[in-house]
Amino acid sequence: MLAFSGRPDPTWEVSAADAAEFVRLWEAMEPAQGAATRPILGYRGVRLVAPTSRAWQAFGGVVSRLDDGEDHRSDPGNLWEHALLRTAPPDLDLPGELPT
Amino acid sequence: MTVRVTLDVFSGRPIPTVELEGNEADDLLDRLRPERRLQADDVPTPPPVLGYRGIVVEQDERPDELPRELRLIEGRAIGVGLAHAVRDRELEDYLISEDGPFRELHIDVEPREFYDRVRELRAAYLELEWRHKWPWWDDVFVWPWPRACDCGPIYEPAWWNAPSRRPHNNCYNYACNYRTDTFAQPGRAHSAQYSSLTCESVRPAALADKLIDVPEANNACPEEGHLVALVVAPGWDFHWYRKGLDGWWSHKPGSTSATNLDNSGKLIRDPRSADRGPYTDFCAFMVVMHGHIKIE
Repeated sequence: MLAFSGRPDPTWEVSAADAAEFVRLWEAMEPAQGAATRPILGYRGVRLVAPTSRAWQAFGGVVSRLDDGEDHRSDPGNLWEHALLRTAPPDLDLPGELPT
Repeated sequence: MTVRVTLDVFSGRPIPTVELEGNEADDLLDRLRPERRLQADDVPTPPPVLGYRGIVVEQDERPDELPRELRLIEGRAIGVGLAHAVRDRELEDYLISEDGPFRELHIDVEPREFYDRVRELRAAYLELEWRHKWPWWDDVFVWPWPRACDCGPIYEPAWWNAPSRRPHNNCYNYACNYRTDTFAQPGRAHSAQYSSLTCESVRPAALADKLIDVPEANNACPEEGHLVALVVAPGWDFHWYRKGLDGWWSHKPGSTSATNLDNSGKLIRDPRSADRGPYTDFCAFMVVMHGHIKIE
């Protein structure tokens, strides 16, 4: 999760099955015209990084593939983003509430 | 031919959509035809998450020059394989006017109020775009111009933003102008790390690292060393700014790039009045004496 400035951003592992599902959902999404503007400070979205270095970043209704030029997909209602945030283990040290 | 036109502006209420046919559809597509290809600095700022996001035009029998779906925003049509200024620059004004295609829609507010609100949101987008393109504009005519700080660090974001440094150095590293590649935490180098995310806890942790408290600083340059500022998002995180050689402030939000802009896209004259997002508590000005501090 991309949120902090002073503290390290929290990271966690997503199971291979869940990751595959997130990739499948992303591939089925409609194209979007660009990433949403992210704030400089504060919550800036959530990133899924595969061992192969493929990576996706979700914020504000758009999920962008980071490692393959500009490929943005529309995430109405931030469903993909929130689902990925919900894979965080409950014991992860996340002060405050997740922005879901 | 049917052309679907959507006013992409609202979040909570239904997004207004109309379908045009016949002459009205032909006329719209004609007015949308490309006049010239956009140059790099013409491309619109990404629309905001909330607010005016332009007008989406969809069609099935697309003419050669237009894709199946495009977004019209401030006279520019953007779609797959398309980034053009449109032939009729007044088309958008017409589409969001009382005479435009949404006139037939049943809207649960007075039409005048509805269109005024849309125009207000569009003006907010224009302002956002202006700030993205000219972030320094509001500060050019500021008087007095910030006084230079002789001992302040030079604003050189490219050095901090190099891939080998950026992910491993945070706001505290940047403010102290001290690379550790450890995402430095206040107090950690002296076994005195903060215990909670409050001013009362982070401030003494920084003092343990030999930063100097200067409660009377009031944004003025110190005679020696350089000025930094601590802010806190209560219970969530801390953040630091540093005052540079030119008298302006800059910062490095976590693993992201160093910048001299605040959350509103403005240059930072004083971190107390900057848009700091969730970092609502201003804790203290402090001085970093070069070579005297230790962080990790």
